[in-house]
Amino acid sequence: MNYFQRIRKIIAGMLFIFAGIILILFAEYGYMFILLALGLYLLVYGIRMMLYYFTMARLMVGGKTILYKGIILLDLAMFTLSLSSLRPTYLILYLVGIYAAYGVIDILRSFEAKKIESPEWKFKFISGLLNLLVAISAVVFGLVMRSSDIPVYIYCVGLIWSGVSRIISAFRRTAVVYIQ
Amino acid sequence: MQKDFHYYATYCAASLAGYTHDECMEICYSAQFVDLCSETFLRKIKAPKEAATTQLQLELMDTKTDISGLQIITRIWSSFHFLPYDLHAERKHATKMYLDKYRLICDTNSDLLVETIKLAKDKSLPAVGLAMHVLADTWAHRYFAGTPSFVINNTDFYFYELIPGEDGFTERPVQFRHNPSAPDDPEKGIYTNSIHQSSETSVMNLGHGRAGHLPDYSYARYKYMPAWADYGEILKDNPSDYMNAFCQMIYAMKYLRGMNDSFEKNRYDTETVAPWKDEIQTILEKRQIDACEDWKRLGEKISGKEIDDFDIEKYESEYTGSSSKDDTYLGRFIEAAIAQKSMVTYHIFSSGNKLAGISKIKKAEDTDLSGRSGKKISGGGEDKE
Amino acid sequence: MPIIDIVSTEDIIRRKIRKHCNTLYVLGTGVIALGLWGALKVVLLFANNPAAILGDAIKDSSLSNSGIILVCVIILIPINILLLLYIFVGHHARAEGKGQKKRAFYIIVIAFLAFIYSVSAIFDVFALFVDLGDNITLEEIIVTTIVDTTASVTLIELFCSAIMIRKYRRIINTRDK
Repeated sequence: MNYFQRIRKIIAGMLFIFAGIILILFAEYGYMFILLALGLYLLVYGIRMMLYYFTMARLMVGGKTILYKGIILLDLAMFTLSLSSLRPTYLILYLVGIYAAYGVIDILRSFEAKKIESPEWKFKFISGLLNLLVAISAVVFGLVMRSSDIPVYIYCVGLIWSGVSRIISAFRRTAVVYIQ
Repeated sequence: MQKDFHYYATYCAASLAGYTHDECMEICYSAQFVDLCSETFLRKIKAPKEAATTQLQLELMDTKTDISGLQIITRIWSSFHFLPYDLHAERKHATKMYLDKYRLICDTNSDLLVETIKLAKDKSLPAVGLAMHVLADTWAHRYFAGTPSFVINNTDFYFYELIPGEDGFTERPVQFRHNPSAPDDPEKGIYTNSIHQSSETSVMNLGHGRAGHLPDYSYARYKYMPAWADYGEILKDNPSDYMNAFCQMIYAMKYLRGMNDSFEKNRYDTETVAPWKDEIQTILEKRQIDACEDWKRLGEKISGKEIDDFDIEKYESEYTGSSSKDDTYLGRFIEAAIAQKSMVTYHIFSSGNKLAGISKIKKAEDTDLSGRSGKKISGGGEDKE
Repeated sequence: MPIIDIVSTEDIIRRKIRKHCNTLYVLGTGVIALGLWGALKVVLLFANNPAAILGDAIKDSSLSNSGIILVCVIILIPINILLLLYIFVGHHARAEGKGQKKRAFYIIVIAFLAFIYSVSAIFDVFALFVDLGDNITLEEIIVTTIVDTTASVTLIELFCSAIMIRKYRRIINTRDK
């Protein structure tokens, strides 16, 4: 990671912690806020992908991958932004689902990091596993206790943990393969 | 290319071009040193960092991938390892953003190569070695660009090695993996490459990273679809390319020695190489990751003298202990490096391409290397980001 | 850039084959992703608002719980079949894109899916201007329209690429003979 990427990670970590705290304090508006933030992030990312395709990647072998990534991201963004009519229970299930997906991605990335003998693989694996466990326990506790509050609090704890782990990983040395 | 070609093969070529053993050692040291002269090394010997001809992995990691960081990367890699072929190349329906990167694609026998060789004329032996490194790399690294670019440097699963056999060649899919600790396995066709990252300016997409070290292996013959080639297929024949590089180096060095009046594109001194051609061909075709031993043996046979192993610290104490650094070996190398970087950056900027930064001056004739005294360094030092 | 010279018609044809193979591989992956995402969204939409899919049937209080379950299962069966078709098509397209020979049956399935999604996309566009009551919101219709249009364009392009590959390979084989 270079310095620029580290700063970005720290900022992202702080935003995650902030989002978790907001959701605990203002639960009834927290969902909307998070969905809006998530939807806007996906929208911007999707538009960037599409712009990248039309300015550069359409001339590249296999460039259509970028186009379809952009389309799926835009679709995901529109779907996220349209979830205002969703019941809170299903909103939190959707958010927990995305959270679990990040956990799985972190675990897969930790395997890649292990392959290139990067020392950060252990931290990444634990971080991903914890994310996944948080997501699963949010769903399980919600179903067992038949409460929509407990999954929210577990999800908030998970968000804060994600933020903290991002800030920690921003200070770690990374090792990557470059070919010279 | 690797040490086997940059150091030992360059020695062989210099010897065949008529240089003495000591001159050959200076030339081949400089040719190999281009791959090691990083900012970290220059900082250690308190030399101007503008003379950096390469970037180490850690330096690349710490370079920002914003505009200024990308310009630093492009200046170094395009000037010394991926000399652009055609700075005015056109492509239908391409945006300026795309064309800027497309025009940095490296290939052999470019106008910039002629400028590089002419720049080394009547200059020091380190300048000759540096020019030979640039020349050799145009053959190995052709079809890749010295700037991080996913749309130019990416490769995909369509990558086949051509294995020579009794009935011609058999195609075998190349398996790429991301495991730096495990060496490449030519027998099984398993090679390490950089991780797939679809971010346009990721350093994973710099140069030939996505093709691993295959371009640097003299035995390799492979076909693939470069990202920029609109589904055209390229057959890269390294044994043939490396032989051309070797013959062209001899032709270039004869020009630099004054034996030829001019240096022209597409000229190769095959006549001088003829008595050694079979031996060279054998070395080039042998399926091995490191051909240092073979090239060293050939070099010692050609010159009749023993070739010292490469030692990065060989000229360090001369430089650090001297009060007149310009007259030291490393001083002359630094001068050549800054001149080369200036020249290439100027041409890239003049073509309307700002990927290598802004270049104010045409030539580094007034280069002052006294970075310690605080005087302004013209040439690469004044290139603005 | 004098890198690759197109020397003959055969070079042009081979280049087009490579292009279409690459399209098959990329779109095959895209089809699988679209299928999985589409199925997930239907499940989510159904869980949130069953009336959007079942309509007035769910409002009929004379339906017992087992009746509702039966209706749900009946709804889920075509979703699963569609998902399996998506995966079938995507897998075969990717394999053919990588150079494996595949039977033409999957192209027929592509044509069938492309037809369904094209019709669905047309109906979605009409639904934007028709009042469907409270069962489904405008946002859901817009999202569905975009997804169906994307799916139909993808499948049509996949169909065309699969056909063109066969056509060009036949030309090459004829020339070789």
